[in-house]
Amino acid sequence: MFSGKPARHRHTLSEQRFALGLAIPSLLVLAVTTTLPLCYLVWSSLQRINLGMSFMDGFVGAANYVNMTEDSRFWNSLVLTVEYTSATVALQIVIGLTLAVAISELRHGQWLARMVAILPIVLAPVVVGLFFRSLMLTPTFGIVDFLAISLGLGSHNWLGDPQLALMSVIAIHTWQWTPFSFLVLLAAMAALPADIYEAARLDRANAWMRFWHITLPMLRPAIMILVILRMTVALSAFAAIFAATGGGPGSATEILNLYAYRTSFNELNIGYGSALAVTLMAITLVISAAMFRLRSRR
Amino acid sequence: MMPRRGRQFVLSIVLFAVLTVWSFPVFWGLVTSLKTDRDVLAYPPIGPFHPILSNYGEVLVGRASIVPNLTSSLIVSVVTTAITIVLAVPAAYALARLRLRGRAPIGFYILATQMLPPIGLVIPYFMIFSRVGLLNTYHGLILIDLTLSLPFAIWLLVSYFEDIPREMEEAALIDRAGRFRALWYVILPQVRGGIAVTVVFVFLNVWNEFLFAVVLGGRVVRPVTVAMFNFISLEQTQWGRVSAAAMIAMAPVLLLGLAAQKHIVKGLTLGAVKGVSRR
Amino acid sequence: MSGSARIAPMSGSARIELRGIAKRFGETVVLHGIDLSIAPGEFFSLLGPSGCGKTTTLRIIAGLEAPDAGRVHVDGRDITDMSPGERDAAMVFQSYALYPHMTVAGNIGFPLRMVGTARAEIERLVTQAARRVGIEPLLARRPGQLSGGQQQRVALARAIVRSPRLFLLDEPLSNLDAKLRVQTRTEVKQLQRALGVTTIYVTHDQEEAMSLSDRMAIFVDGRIVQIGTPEEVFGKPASTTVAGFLGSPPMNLLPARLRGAMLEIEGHRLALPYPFGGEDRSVVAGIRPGDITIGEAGLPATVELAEPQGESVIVDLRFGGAALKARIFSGVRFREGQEVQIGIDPARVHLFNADGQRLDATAGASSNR
Repeated sequence: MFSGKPARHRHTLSEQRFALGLAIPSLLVLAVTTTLPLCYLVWSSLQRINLGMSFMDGFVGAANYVNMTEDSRFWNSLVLTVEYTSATVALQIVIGLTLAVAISELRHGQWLARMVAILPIVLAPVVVGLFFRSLMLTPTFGIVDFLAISLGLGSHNWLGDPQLALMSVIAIHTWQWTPFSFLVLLAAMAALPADIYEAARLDRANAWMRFWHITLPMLRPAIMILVILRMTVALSAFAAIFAATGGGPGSATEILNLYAYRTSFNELNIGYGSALAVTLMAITLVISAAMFRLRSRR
Repeated sequence: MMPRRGRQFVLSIVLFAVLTVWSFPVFWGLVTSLKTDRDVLAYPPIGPFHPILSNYGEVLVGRASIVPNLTSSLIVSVVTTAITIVLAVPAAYALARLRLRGRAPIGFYILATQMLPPIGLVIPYFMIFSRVGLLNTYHGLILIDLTLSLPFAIWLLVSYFEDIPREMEEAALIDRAGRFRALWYVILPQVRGGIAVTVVFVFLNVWNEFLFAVVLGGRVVRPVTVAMFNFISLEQTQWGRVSAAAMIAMAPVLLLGLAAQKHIVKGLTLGAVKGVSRR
Repeated sequence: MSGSARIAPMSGSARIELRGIAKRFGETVVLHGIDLSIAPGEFFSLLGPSGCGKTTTLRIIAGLEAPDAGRVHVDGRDITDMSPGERDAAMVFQSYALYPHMTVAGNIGFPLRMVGTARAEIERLVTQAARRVGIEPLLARRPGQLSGGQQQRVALARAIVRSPRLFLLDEPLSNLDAKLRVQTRTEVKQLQRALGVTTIYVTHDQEEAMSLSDRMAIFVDGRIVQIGTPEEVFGKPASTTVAGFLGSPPMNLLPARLRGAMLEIEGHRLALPYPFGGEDRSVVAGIRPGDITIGEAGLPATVELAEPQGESVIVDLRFGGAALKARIFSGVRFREGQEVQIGIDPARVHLFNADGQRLDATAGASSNR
């Protein structure tokens, strides 16, 4: 009765051809604009290319990568990347969740919170970095410093002090993107079915138990996808840090992304910079894949 | 627990704190843009001052006018958005609704492209563009901005297409519309909102883009995100002017964001929360 | 897209034939080889529980799915490979599938617009169709502003406006509330009679199928187990499955022993009006609730529960070791635990063999009931 293969009637084929026709322009553009340059990137990571001293250019195989393993500045950037990414993502989600829970119970004025939440999100990260650098975190006349002095914490060089700089850029990134998590979680909470809570109330569960055993598990999918999204953004964060500290002082805020940029465009060492970029991409790929698997398994 | 009214009061405090923290930098930037350079450096910073408009004057019509930069940004953003929509809408439809061969790998490919760190693209683009003379050109910058926008737009639009009941195409086909007219007359009108949201997001992302602009731009093509550094040099920073430039540069996106806020919130949450149930 | 090989429209109503239609979704076989013949102008129902393959069959006829084996013929022409738009069939979906961004008039006129009908003509036909289903005052509204019943009529109007040769309806009434459903049911039947179009109607509601159809096909697990008129299917169910499916409450089925013309149920003997050949065997005896009487004399049983239904009462009885349901119209009230005498007319007993297949009396006996 069955020929073994699924039906291949005329109109199924025409549908597939139609679909292909619709998708091909985009796929072609994507292939040209992303895949080709990426191949070029990998190729140049295997070379020594120095725009300032081009007489030394040539194919060096895996030398760039070998040198990377002994490059303390690279390891520093890796550590900073891990600290930066994990800190900001954790903060964004925890603060965002707390705010979402709080605001969702507010009787009047939720719309106000939603409206204001848009402000940090639509600003250009470079502008955010500049604002914080120039207006908020500068010693003495920055407003944050002013508050710190008033509270008795003393004046500090929030961006110029190596100890504080990383904290400050984490704070900047968190400030800008927590509203995103907030909005997503607020909407997710609004979509939760109310009758489960009523049943829980009848079962005499208090507010904390309701949150922990009902709200949190049901928000899990949204939280997971937030983690993935925010993580990829944090790994490739550039403009805000560039504007606020430029990667400094020294290398205090030089996450891998910044390091690759400085190597390529400040020191003009593009071969090595390519290798750094490839490494960052590999890390991003591995982490994203791991997170996706985690999400779909449970 | 706490009585209801007491609780609402505490929550209102939370709301107030949230409003303050998130809107303050913009507000502060506005205030700074109205100060003379001397007032900016005054201590304490929250003292009264005499507001001036000369910063805006300098930034708009003076020698360091950022109007050409606004034009640059506008051209790049509008053209990139237009091209993106024209390419992404049909691709998203094919991915969402049609029996496309290799649908899963294509979807994965688009997702992967979206997650690429931009540094991995800007380096080879720089090398290629400097060889073929595409640095400091609109074509060049638009081309690389497409890598930002296209996968994102497709991803967003797919969720809007998936929201439409499957029977819509079937009813249209039975009504003798054929596949293309079914898309044109029945499906597209129903995703108008989604397309609008996508336009807003894509425009926003391109307007705010910095890394590509600073590496691949130049004197002719110098978007407004780069232009702000005009007022910062090693010797001094003209805070007032920087703030004014930033306010002007951000005015379009702020207005767009506030005007389309309901759609933006829906778009953010749809893309994120929907993506959950899909796979 | 519609090609030039379209069948000429407006040629009356179609004769449908399905031969050996089989369909598989992944590993699951949904249809096992369906053969069907539907005469022009017939109101034909596909009835069965959910997941039995009836909707898939309808969609294959519509062209929305392609069968893995078998052919579909309309008026003698093999249309299996044709796209839905070329088949001159109109469909009403369970969810109505109205176009939310168009007005009611736009919705109804859409199929006419798609084949290039002149605007004046579209207006005329749309008004006519709307009038027919009683929604003419709603033409300027949008589907979102209409009630469920009104939306359903718009879907109907959109289907009839193009005078197709074939109507396909996929559980069109299941989203309406019970009262509206019964009312609309009558109107659907009247509409079909007036238009005379061949109609294929999918439903899981046996009452609906019985009241609407000229003939129906009962689907179970991807196979057709019986085809016939409502009377045939109800009066002579081909298997215990069919018997248990039709009727509310469904037919009582009890194990019994058959000896020639004698039936033994729960220790009681019933003399059947005609002999069934073959030796002693175990059978399944079926009695419709409406065929059980409660009166002065008969077989002993106990009332377990009485469910008043308004015009009748459903009495749950314990008869020996078996549970029976009877439908009594007499208006008598029954108490739980009451001992009663039930009457079973042997002429109205259905017999099925151990596999569930219907047994008919040996030749020479009339099996008209």
